[in-house]
Amino acid sequence: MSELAGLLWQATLETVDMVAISALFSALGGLVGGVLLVATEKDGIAAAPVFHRSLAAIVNIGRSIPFIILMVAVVPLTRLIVGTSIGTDAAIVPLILAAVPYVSRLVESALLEVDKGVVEAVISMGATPWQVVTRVYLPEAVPALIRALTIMTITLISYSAMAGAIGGGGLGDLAIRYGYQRFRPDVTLSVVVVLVAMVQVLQFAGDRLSRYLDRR
Amino acid sequence: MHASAESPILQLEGVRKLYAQNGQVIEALAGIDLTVTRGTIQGVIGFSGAGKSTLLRCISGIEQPEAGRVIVAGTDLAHQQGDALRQARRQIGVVFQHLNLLRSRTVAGNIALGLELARQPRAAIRARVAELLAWFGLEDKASQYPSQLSGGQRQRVAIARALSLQPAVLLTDEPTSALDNETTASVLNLLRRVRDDFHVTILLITHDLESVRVLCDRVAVLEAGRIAEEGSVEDVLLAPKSSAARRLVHSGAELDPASAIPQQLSATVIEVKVIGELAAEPLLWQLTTSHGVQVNILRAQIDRLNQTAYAFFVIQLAGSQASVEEAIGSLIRKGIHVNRVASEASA
Repeated sequence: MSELAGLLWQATLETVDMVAISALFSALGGLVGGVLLVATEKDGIAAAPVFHRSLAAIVNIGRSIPFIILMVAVVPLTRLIVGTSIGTDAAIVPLILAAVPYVSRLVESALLEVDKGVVEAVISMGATPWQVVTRVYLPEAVPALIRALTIMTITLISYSAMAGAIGGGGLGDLAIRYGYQRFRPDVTLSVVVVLVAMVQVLQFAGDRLSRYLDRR
Repeated sequence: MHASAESPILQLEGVRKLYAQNGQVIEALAGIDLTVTRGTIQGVIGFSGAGKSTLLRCISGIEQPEAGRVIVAGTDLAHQQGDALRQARRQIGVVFQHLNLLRSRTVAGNIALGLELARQPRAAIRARVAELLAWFGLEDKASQYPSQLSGGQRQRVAIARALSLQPAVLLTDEPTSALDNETTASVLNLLRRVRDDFHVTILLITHDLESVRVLCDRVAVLEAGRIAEEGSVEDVLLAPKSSAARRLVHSGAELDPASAIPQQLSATVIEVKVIGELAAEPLLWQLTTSHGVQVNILRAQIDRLNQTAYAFFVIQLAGSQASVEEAIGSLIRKGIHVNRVASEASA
């Protein structure tokens, strides 16, 4: 029992580590991507149709590659950045690459919820495109952005479990090595319980924070 | 009356704006000419689809017209780009129909927004916001969010925000459309005080004749992207020349006099418009006593346009042909506008 608890604790820490670091970078990348998608639209505040179409194409390609394939495909890049292709640090690179296009779309739809009239009002007050982003789009979309980032983090947890399949460490790795390969259903079950608990806590916290900051 | 200087603050010259819709090009503004003098409350009235919102977007600098000039305080908005355009936009404060307040900002934060965008120093922003909060009676609401306010309070925040950068022109879009009668009256009253205290020229874009009647000095009637008629509110509302103006003036009050004539009566029906001091005289009584005609009132309205009293009657005159003609003549000699609606209506 104490052996299982120790293994579980170790794996949970690894998962939290992987998810926290990749969530931070994915959120930053996704915010930039989402803002660019909205701003460069045909009727956007910094319309640039060619750029918009190119960016949208890249995002779509990124989103259409299954994570398990992406993980293998970017191994050379991972080695270049982290120095190894095995372990939690190595898993962070494909996690970010997979999440950024996804989060860009989530952020885009959160920003599109912002009232167009409010954007126009601020433009009529002489705002620059940068000011429209920092004074209107981002602050007005905070509740929706928090919901988007909650979804992102939960998705990262499930992706990080897949990283276990190629020796990525964390809860997924534990479930595969002990639960699957050594026929220990108690390990698998414990991993599932921990994952479910993590998702529940995150979703609850995200909903509460989003509602608290909503001024509607 | 307030435009003693008679200097134009807003000039539109041949403003044209086209839209592509389903592959077709639609001319939303087909050459608008309008000059507004400093300190005037100018109404622009039209049915929906007349081009009001396009005009608002061109004047506020949100969009630029395909042709023509939009000159605000000496700067042509239609031919500015980048920083110069952003600077020029600040000459016009806009109170949008849906107010468009930021719900993530408090009342004070909303009013401060334009000042922040213009990168004014913190102390100056704080002073200006405090001044506006006080003028609009919003001091105790400063740290509340728009969602916590009533419609009338939100309207005041929007007006205060539009005035923050001391614009030359305050552009208001359907300011009364979402308000009940009582709040409407107080908002219109407020706008008049805003004009006087902030020395701003007001452009009121609306479909509501009542707002124009109560508030405006002058009015332009917009129809199909053109200005059909422009003049003082008294002239346009009491003696509309264009068919567009006539339809607007009559649509609210359904003032089709002929329809008000009872079928069984046979007599001369006239429309009488009395403007100014004469409106207070007992004219109808004089018709009976001096000319011996019987007066039957089919419709009557007495009201004020700005400070001018006016009376509008549809009356039926019964009596001998000569005495009826004499009675009508006496009205015309007094300078009263008489319009024959029907003679011997039932015939």
